[in-house]
Amino acid sequence: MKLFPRNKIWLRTVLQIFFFILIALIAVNHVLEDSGVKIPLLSNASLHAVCPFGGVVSLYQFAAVGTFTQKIQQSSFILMILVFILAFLFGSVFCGWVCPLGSIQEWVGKLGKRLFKKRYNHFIPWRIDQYLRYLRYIMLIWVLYATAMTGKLAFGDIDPYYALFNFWTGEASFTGLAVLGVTLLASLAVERPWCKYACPYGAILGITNLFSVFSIRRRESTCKSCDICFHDCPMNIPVHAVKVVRDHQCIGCLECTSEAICPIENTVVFATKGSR
Amino acid sequence: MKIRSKTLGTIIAFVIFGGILGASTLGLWKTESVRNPNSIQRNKSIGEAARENAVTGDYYPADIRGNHRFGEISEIFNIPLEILSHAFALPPDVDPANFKNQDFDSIYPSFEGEQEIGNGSVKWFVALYTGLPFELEDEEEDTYLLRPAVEILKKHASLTAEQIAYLDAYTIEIEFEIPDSYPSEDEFQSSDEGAGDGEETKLKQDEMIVAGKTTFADLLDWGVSAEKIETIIGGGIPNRLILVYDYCAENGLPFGQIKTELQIEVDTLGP
Ligand code: SF4
Ligand code: SF4
Repeated sequence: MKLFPRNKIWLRTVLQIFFFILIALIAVNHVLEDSGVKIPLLSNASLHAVCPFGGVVSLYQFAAVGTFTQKIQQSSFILMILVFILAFLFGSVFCGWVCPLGSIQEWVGKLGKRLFKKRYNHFIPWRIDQYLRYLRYIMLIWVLYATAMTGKLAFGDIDPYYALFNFWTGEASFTGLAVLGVTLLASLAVERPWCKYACPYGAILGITNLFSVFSIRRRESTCKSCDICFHDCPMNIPVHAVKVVRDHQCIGCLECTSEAICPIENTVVFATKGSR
Repeated sequence: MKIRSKTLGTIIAFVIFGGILGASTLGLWKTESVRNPNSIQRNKSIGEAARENAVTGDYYPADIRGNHRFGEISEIFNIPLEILSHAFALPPDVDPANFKNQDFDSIYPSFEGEQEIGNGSVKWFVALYTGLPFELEDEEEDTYLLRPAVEILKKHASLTAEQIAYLDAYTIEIEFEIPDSYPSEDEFQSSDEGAGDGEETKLKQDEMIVAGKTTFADLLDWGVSAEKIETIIGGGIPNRLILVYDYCAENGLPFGQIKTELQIEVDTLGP
């Protein structure tokens, strides 16, 4: 028996699981710290210190007065820079390959796929949906504005990522837990609802898709317009209808490529401009 | 150029972990205790200042441990017991000679936010009082003293302007009347009074206390109008996120006085 289906980007799943467990263990270690126990070789940093988005929300304050937003550490800045390097090269691959919140939505979605079969992830008509996808920019503006004005982690109280790894410690806020609950429930019908409509970090990274060095490219001459890439894209991007995916929602998961779902070899690829 | 999933995955892992490794090698990977760079600066120079004041002795404030009794500290560093007792507001039913540094938790109610009185506070007080060399360690940054201790130091110790500013920024306010005619050391040694004032000691637990960590944004959030703040600081608020303390330091303003005036404004707002 094969561990992964043939047309799966298996390394992505491996990395997703790896990062999920890593962050979960860091969260556990952080709590254990108080009792003097520690999982060896593993950081016991707070979750805020290992979140690259913390660096982003601190940017304004850092530039203006040279200090970090409350609870944010220098490591967040480093991670932010590393993720931006990846994003300039490959677009939002952080979302597709690393972010544990994205991963868990995807995993819950597998259950949803069984429940709703073909209707899963296709409930909202695209003509409306494509505009709803900009909601996350409103969230982004609010988060940046509120953090810059107060110097406190304005997003912390609603952040489902923090709630996900702290639901058992009593540190997560009620709002955070509620947002997490709604997100996971919605994941049964829609793939990655938080990423699509609300994630402020996804919103920033999404902008890099518009100019990243590598992007998803479709070779029209060999494409037989089966639309399967579109149907399987977790973010509902009409890959079948464009030559280059420059969509702010693409998470670089490569599931639409010829390496995965596209049945024709060398037709949907992740490549730089001009390469065929 | 085309890239396949295996290469992409490897690059992602390499950039993240390689980057973290590189940052740690350069000493840039800090997941905790990265404090306001200004405050690190501030503490360093206070440490240096303390060293400049140094007189050589057999014991140093850094040697003070949690299980030391006030009696021993008084003897070793030649500080009247009454001064220690008064500075740390020991209640009248506590015998100052036998009081241990590690027992502060049992006599104070919990303070607001990160304010804390502990062994570090005693070291810091002793260092400033005696002028012996002492450098605030990383973990002792943001070392607080109670208002009576600060008043005693201002009266009895020779402090630099910078040390005074630091003390003002890291004072825990307690409702404690310091008499204008504060007795001299000699009077202290010959009298039992003073320590008994602790009876009236009631620690404020109000959230809205202007301290070293207060930013202009905090004041505005608490409801103090921008105009009032600007009148007190005598200029425009440059940026909401700046610490009032840093603003005063940069503009040569007395933080202690500004803080008091701001606190009056805050207090008039009511609960
Ligand atoms: S959009 Fe946000 S939650 Fe979704 S994967 Fe990206 S960073 Fe994570
Ligand atoms: S377009 Fe392709 S790479 Fe982008 S999100 Fe959709 S399936 Fe993933």
